[in-house]
Amino acid sequence: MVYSLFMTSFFDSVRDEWFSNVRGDILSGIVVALALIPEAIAFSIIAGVDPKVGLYASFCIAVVISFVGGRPGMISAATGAMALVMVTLVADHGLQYLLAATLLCGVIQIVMGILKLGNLMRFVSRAVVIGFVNALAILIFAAQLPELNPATERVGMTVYIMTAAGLAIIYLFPLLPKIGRLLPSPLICIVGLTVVAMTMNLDIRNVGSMGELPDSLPMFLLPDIPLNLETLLIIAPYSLTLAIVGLLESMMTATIVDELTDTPSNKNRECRGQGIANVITSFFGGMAGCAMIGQSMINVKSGGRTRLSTLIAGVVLLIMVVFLSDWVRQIPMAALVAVMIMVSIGTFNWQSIREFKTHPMSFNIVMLATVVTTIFTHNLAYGVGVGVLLSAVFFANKIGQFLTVFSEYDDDSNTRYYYVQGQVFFASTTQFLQSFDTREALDNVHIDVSQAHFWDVSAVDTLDKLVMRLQREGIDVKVVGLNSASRTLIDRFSIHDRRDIGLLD
Amino acid sequence: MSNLKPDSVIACLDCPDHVQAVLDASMWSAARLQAPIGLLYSVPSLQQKAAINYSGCLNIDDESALLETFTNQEHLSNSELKAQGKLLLHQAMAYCEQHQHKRKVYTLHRHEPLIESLDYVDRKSQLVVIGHHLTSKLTLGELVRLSQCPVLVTHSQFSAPTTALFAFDNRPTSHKMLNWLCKTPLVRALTIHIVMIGKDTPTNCDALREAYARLKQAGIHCKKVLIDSRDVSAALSHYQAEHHIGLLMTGAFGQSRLREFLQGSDTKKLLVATKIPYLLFPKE
Repeated sequence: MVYSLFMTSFFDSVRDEWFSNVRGDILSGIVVALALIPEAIAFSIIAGVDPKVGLYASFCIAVVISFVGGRPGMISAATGAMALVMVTLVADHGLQYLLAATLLCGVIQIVMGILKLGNLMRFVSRAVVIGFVNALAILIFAAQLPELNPATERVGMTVYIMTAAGLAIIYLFPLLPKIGRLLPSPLICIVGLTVVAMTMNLDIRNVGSMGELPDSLPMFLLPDIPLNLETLLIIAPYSLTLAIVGLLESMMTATIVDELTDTPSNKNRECRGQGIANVITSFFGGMAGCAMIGQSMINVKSGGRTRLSTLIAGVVLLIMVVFLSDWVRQIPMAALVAVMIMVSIGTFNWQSIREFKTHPMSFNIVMLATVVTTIFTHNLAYGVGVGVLLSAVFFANKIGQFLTVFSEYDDDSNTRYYYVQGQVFFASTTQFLQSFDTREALDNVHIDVSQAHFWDVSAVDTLDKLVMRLQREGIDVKVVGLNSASRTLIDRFSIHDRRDIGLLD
Repeated sequence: MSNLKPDSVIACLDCPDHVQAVLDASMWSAARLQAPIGLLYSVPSLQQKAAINYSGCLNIDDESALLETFTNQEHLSNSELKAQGKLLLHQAMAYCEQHQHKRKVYTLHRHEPLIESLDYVDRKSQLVVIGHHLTSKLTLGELVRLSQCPVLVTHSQFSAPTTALFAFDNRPTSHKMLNWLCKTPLVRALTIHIVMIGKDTPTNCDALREAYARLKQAGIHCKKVLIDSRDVSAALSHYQAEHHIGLLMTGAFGQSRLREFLQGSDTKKLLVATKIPYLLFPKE
């Protein structure tokens, strides 16, 4: 009975997650595969590896994540954010170290998934997320500039015209009736420009001149590196950054897909899934990847909802690349540059500029700090770190302002009654101290903190300091109404004699 | 955070010799301004004195032990100090009551240097009354310069004035003071001599005539005089002695700092030279 119940629910969930939307998923999977090809090639080129590394990675990650991911309908593959992190590693140490770093990155992500670090995403505020995508867009755009630099070999007027034409196709093709919505315009741009380049026999840079393309199915290989501490020290920093950046973008994408489809996802399973996908990818000669915001949007827009769409995208991608490699070789770089410019324009959050004036200043500062840090360090993880730190500081500052102190004076006994309301912690201790007039020559001071919260040691220290200061002026101090939460703190940390001033009342 | 009442007359009980005069002057001005009197007694607390006897070797946890000792000691010594201050304030209150003063009198007793207390009260008060002799390290000039409300300086005897001398020099500060004089009930009943020290030029004459007209318009009985002299303070002292003036009124430190440095400050000279109550109006 229990067994059959389990089987029923298992098959139910398989049907829900795989086969509830077969037609929509197959169609959207094919569209995504077509759109993935140029991006995978372009990201490989950003990272400085052969296009086949990115294409194999996209295939492996998409296929693996379709089984182990936590967010059905989300597309994962080789991404720009990850490619940007690995640039220097590839340049200094080569492909094999990249594969090892990808393996380690996967392991780290699995561990993070097991430790449920996906929950930490709640500390990443919206301002940081927007800063992250803006920085990503700027970096992707900047990575295209070498291809447009006249100093580069075989770059000239032809390339500029081709790029402009590519952008025109990308943005104008969807305006055509019927067919414009059927085929992804980046694909039309690439096919069109390739045909033009081949028929007119233009002498410009193409994908073939960037490196090797896949001509077979990927094969299982172990990364060819010496297994010692030195290797670990080389790859560890990259792996950690890759793991963090990958999870950040994956979690953000999952949130966006959750919102779009109004369905829940399992963030910690997604963390583990990303890790497993990266581990397997590294054995098949692929670079590290993560979820893709743009492609996931395309998938959802084209009707993809379940794991099937992700699987189809990966499989179709590989089939097309293996059988069409001779044609893929002929794709002019100008077409890829146009696609990447589109990606960066699409990634950039233009709303954040439009609403710059209406957003609170702290929001803008956090966003800009994230962008600026990322651009200067070329590391999205640092940018997010700075952003999260700044938002925490701003938050502490804001909460610290919830502190009011008012007082009453009693003439007969020469006593002043202070009433403290609000939050007392490290950010508000100065304000707390300044709210008291210690120079008044009083006989008694009565501090009522029953409406206040003492959060940390700084707050307790400050109360101590205040009491001491008042006592030194020859005033008798009485503190009343510390609620039980604050009292535990006081008991553990304060120095002065509590019984004297009534802290233990 | 204090029982300071807005728009009070602040009587600074600083030097024992001048307490009576300060109280007289305060009662006189409070009656005119219809303001409460704040008796300000401000003595720095005895913090530094305690540290002397504790030099020597350091022990474990010395800090908290030392802190405790200091706290206990200062608690005692400052309590004593406070009791003395209270006594003085009580006497002052009793003096005011004896003289059947009708306005409210309250005390402001603080443990800090006088200037800090003044900084604390002068934004909300109408007038600060202070004795000519200060016990604090600060000179009267410095104190007046930092004040943000008018200051009335009195000598050890105060008698209510019937005539006042308004030294008008056509600078922004004296224009501000002119506006204030037109409004304040403090000098309404007095005869004001507007005295200008300067050359007999059309500008000076016009300015003086205008100031005169404005005070007249405000319903104040007044006279105007233009004296040509180089030494401002000497000329004013001479005039006041000649006409038996009971109150001197000027803007405080109206010149720029540079001119003050080069020529010396007339306000400072007057503070030293004047033997009658002296009302100063702040620059800011």
